[in-house]
Amino acid sequence: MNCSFVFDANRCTGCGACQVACTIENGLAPDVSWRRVETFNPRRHPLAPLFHLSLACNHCADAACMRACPALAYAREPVTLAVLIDADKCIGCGYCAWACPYDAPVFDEKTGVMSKCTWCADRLRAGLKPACASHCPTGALDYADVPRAARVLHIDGLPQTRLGPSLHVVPLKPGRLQPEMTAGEVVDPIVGTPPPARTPTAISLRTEWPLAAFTLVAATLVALVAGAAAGTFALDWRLFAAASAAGMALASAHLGRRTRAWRAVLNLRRSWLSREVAALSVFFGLATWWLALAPESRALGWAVTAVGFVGLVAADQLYSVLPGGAGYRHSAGVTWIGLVLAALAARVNGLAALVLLLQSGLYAHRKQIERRPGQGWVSAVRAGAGLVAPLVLLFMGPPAEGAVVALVVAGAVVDRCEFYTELERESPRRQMDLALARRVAPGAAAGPRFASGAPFPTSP
Amino acid sequence: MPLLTTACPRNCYSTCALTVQVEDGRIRRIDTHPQTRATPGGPCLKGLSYVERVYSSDRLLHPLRRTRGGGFERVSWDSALDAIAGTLAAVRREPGPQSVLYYCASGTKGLMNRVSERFWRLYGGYTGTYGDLCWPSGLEATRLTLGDNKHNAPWDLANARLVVLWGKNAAETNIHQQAFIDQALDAGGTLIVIDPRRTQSAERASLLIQPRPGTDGAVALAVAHLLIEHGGVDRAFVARHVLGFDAFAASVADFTPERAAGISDVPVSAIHRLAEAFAAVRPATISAGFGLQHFANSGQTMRAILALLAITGNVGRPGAGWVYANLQSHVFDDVRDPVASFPPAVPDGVARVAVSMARLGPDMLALADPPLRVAWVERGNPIPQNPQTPTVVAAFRALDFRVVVDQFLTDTAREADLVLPAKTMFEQSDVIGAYWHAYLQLKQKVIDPPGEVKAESEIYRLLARRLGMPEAGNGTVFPVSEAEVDAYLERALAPFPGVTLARLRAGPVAAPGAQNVAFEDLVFPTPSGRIELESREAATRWGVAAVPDYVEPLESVRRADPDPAAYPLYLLTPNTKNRIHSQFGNLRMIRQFDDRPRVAIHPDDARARGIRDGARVRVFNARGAIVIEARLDNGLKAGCVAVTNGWWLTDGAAVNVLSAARETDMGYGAAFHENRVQVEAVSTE
Repeated sequence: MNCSFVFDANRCTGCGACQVACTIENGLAPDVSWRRVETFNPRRHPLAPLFHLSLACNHCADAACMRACPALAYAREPVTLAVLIDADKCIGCGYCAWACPYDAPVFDEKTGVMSKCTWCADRLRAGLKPACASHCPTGALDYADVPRAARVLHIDGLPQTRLGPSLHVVPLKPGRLQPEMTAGEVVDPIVGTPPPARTPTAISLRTEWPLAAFTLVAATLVALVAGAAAGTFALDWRLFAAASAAGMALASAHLGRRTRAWRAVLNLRRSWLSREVAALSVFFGLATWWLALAPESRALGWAVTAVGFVGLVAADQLYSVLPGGAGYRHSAGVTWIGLVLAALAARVNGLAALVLLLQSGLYAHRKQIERRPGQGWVSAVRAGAGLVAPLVLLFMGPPAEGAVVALVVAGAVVDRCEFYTELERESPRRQMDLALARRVAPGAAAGPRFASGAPFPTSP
Repeated sequence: MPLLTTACPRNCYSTCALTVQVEDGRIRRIDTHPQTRATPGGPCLKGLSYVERVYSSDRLLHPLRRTRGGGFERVSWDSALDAIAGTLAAVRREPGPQSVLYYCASGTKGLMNRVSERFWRLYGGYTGTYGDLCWPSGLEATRLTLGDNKHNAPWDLANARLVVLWGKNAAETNIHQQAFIDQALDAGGTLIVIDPRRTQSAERASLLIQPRPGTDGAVALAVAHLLIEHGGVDRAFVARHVLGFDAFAASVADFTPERAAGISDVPVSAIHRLAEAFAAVRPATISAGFGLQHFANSGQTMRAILALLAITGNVGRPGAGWVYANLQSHVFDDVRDPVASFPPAVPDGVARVAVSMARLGPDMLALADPPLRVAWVERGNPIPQNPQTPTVVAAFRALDFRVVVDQFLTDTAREADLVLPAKTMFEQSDVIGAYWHAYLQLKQKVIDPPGEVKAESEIYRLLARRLGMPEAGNGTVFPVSEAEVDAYLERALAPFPGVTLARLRAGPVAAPGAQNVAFEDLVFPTPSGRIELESREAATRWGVAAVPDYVEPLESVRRADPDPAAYPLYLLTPNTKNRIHSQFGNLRMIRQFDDRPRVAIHPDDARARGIRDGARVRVFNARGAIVIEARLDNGLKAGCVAVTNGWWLTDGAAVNVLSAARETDMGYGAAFHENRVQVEAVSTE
C-alpha cells in the first residue's frame, strides 16, 4: 500500500470540519488540532482565485522532523508507515517544527513536548480512514492508495520539497478558477493577510532570545580559548567552567522538558542540533580540562579551539532547515562571529579584518539584494559601529584592541538579534503569501483567470 | 461501542442524519448516518462541535435567579418553579392569561415542542407571535406561484446543467448541497451566483452577478423580458401549465436590460448572459437563499425569480426547479408554513396571536387589554436575533417577570428573572422533519441530561401540578419518562403506517408521499391548478401587484429617507458556516475560526473613510451603533458592508442593534436587510 492523503482544492470550502474532527478523535483541547486549513487569497483579490489547503502531517518518506529531531523521539510505525512522535522521548526543543515545511508538529503547552498527527494509526489498523478524511462534508479530503509516481504536489501554497510527502493534491481545474465579477474594479485592493495572522510556531527574537544569547556566549568562549592558545592572555579555568555552564543553562532554557536535555545528543548521525550540542559540550569539557591541567600545551589549546569551531559550524548548519539557509550565509553567522573574535584574541588582525570585510559583504547583500530593511538605527549601529569602525581602526593601526573588540562584540550582538528577527520557517502560509504576491504583482503574466469565458454550453 | 441513530434539529437546510458513539455515558464521536442520501459526507463543524457543546463549562446545569446586583445565583428547582407558578397564577387572575407572552423560535425542531403550546392553552391563554424571522416572504411567493413549498430531492441537483445560486451561499449555509453542485459542475454544468458578496460559493461560478441589495427583482424581470423577446420561452409548457403569462409579458415589456442595469448596477451584458443561460441550458435549477427575501419588496422579488423557471419550463423535471424550501416532510401539520404562521383570521379567544416576529419589540410595547406582564422564552434568543434589538430590550425590561429556558446564558437569558437549564438534542427523543430533504428522523435520546437539567415537557408538567391543572399527571399531555415520550411520538406517527419509531431508530425514513422530483405530476395546488404568474390572492391578501413587479426597497440609497448622505452603505447580515444564528458561537471549537465580530468593507469605501484593515470602526444609523473591527474585503460590492449575524451583545456587536423592526411585503417576514448605515473610524484617544 502506498496510501496518502488526497486533497481536492475544487471541492474544499474551507469549512474546518476536518480540523475539528481531528481534535475530537484525538481528544485534544477544543481549539487545538493537528490539521489546519489555510486559505489562499483570503481577501479575495480580483486577480486571483480563493481556495483552501487542508494540511496535517504528510508522513513523508524522508521525514524532515525525524531527521532533525536530536532526541530520536520520532519513529516510523511499521504497519501504517505513520511517522509518530514518542511523547516520553521528546525534549520539547521545537526543532522539528523548524524543519517541517508543512507546519505539522505542534508544541503542546500542557505537556511541554511536541505533538502531531498520528494518521489516526489506530483507525488505520482497524481498516478505517483517518478521522479528518472520513468526516469531510464535501469529499475534498480523502485517504487513498495513490502510487508515488502519480502524485501531484504542485499547488500554490504547498512547499515544494524532496521529502516524499504522502499527499496527492488536485489543483483548481481550469474551468473552476474564479468567477467573472460584475462589480466595478477595486481601485486600491488589499492583498494578503497582514500579521498577526501568522502561524502559531513562528520564530521570533522574543521566543528565541536564549538561543541568541547562547550562541554569542559560545562564540566568545571559543575565541577566548583561541586567545589563550595563542598566549595572548591567561584564562582561569574556573571562570571558564562557570561561563560554559551558564551557556548550557541558557541553551536548555527553551526546552519544554529540561530534565531530558541529555537526550539532545542522541541523533548525531542525522541531526545538526545533536552535533552542535555534542561538539560544544565536548569543547566546554576539553577546554576546562586543558585550562585546568595543561594550559602550557599550545598544540592542545589549538586542538580544543578546533573542536569549538566544529560546534560553531554545526550551530550555523542547524539553520539549514529554514528557507534562509545555514547561519553562515548571514553576516551574523556564529562561525564568523567566533572567527573574528578568535582572530582578535589571537592578535591575527589581518584575519579579523578579512572576516569583517566578508561580514560587511554579506550584510550589504542581505540589505540590498534580499531587501531586508531593518530599522535604520539598527543598521547604522551594526554597519557603522560593528563593521566599518573596527575595520578603520584595524587598518589605521596601531590598533586600539580594546575598542575594536568592544565594537565588534556590540555589532555582533545587534546583528545576531537581527538574525533571529529575520528567521522564517517554511510553511504553507508563507508560500501562499509569496504566491499571491506574485500573482497580483503588476505585470504578472496573465494566466487563465475566469472559470469559463462566455458562451454558455448548450444543453445536450 | 454501539452507534446510535439521531438527527440534528437545528434550523438548517442539511438537518443531518447522525450516528453517535457513547462511551461511559459520554458522547465520544458524531458521524453521518450511512443511510442518508442527502448528507453523505461528514457533518459540518457545528455538528461535530456538539462534543464540546454538551459538556461545555458554560452550559447551564441548574436554575438561576437574578440577584439584586444584576448577577445570577443558583436556586433549586422547587423555588424556581414556585416563583413561576406564583406569578403565573397571579397574572392569570389580573390582568388575565393573555398578559403572558409565550415566545419560541427556531432553536430546536420537533414534535415535542407542541407540549409547550398545549400547556399555555391549559393555563388559560397566552399571547403568541405570528410570522417568522427566517423565510416567509419566499414561502408565500412560492405558495402563490406553485401552490406549495416543495422541491426536488437534494441529490437531484446533480442533474442540473445550469445552477443559479440566487442569494444563497450554500458552501457556508448548506455545505452538503455543495457536493451536488460539484457533481453538476463535473458533469459539465454551469454555475452562476447572484450575490453582492464574493462568497465561498461564488468561487466556482462562471459569473458572479453583484446587484445592489434589494434589486434582484429588477434583474429577474429584465431576464424575463429578454427571454420573452428572444424566444427563450417554453411556449408549450406555458400554454398548459402557466396562468397569467400574457399579463406578465405585458408588464415586463418595458423592463429592458438597460432599465434593470440602471436600477441594479448590474451591467447590461451580464443580464444578457444570464438570459442566454436560461435560454440555452436545460435543465436549470435556481436555489434561492433567504437573504434576498429580507427586503420590503422581497415577496415580489421571489415571484419574479420564480417566473423565470415557469416561462422556461424548468418545473417538474429532474435537474430543474425552484430549490427554496422543501416542506414534504412536514406531514404532521394540518396547515403548512407559511400559512401556519399567519395570525388566525378569527381569534379563538384563548391565544392572542398579536405580536409580529419582525416587530417584536414595538408590538410587545404596544399591546393593551391586557398589556404584557410576563414573558416565557424557549428555543430562542430574541434580543440579538430579532430586528431592532434596542426595542426588544426595552420591551423585555418593561415586563414584570421573565423566564428564559436555554442551555447557555445568552443575551436574552441575561435579561431574565429566572433562567431554566435546557436539555440538548441528545437528552430527549423527538421526531423531526426538515426543509431541504424530505426525511423524517428520530432525534434520539442517547445520554441523560447532566446536572439538574430537565426537558421542557417535565418543566411544564411540574408547573401544571403547581397550578393545579388536572392534566398534570397525564403522560400523554406532558410526556416525561422515556416510555411516555416514545408513546407520544408513536401516536403522532400512527397516521403513517410506514413510519414507526423502530424504523426511525434504524435511520432516516422518506416522508410518506414525498416526490424526488417535485411537481413531476404537473399538479399545482393553486386556485387555478396552474403555476400562477398572475395571482389574485397576491393582490387581495397582500395588496401587491397581481403580477411580479419591482418596487424600490424602502431603505434604498435612491430614497431620500433615511438621508443617503448620512447613511450611504447597505448593511448585510448574512449567516456564517460557524454558527446557526446565535448558536455555537460561544464554543472554543468554533471561536478558533472566528473569535470576534468584524465588519467587511470594500477597500475603496474604507480608504474614503480613513479606515485601515483591522481598525476599530463605528457602524451606526439612527437606530443604533456598534463598535467593531474592520476587515477589508475586495470581493464585496462597493457600497455594501457585511457583519455576520448571530454575535451576542456580550461579544460586542449584535447586528440587529442596527436593523429595523419592519415586515416584508408578504408572509409576515422580517426585512432585516432594509438597513442603511454609515461607518466611521473610531479615534484611538
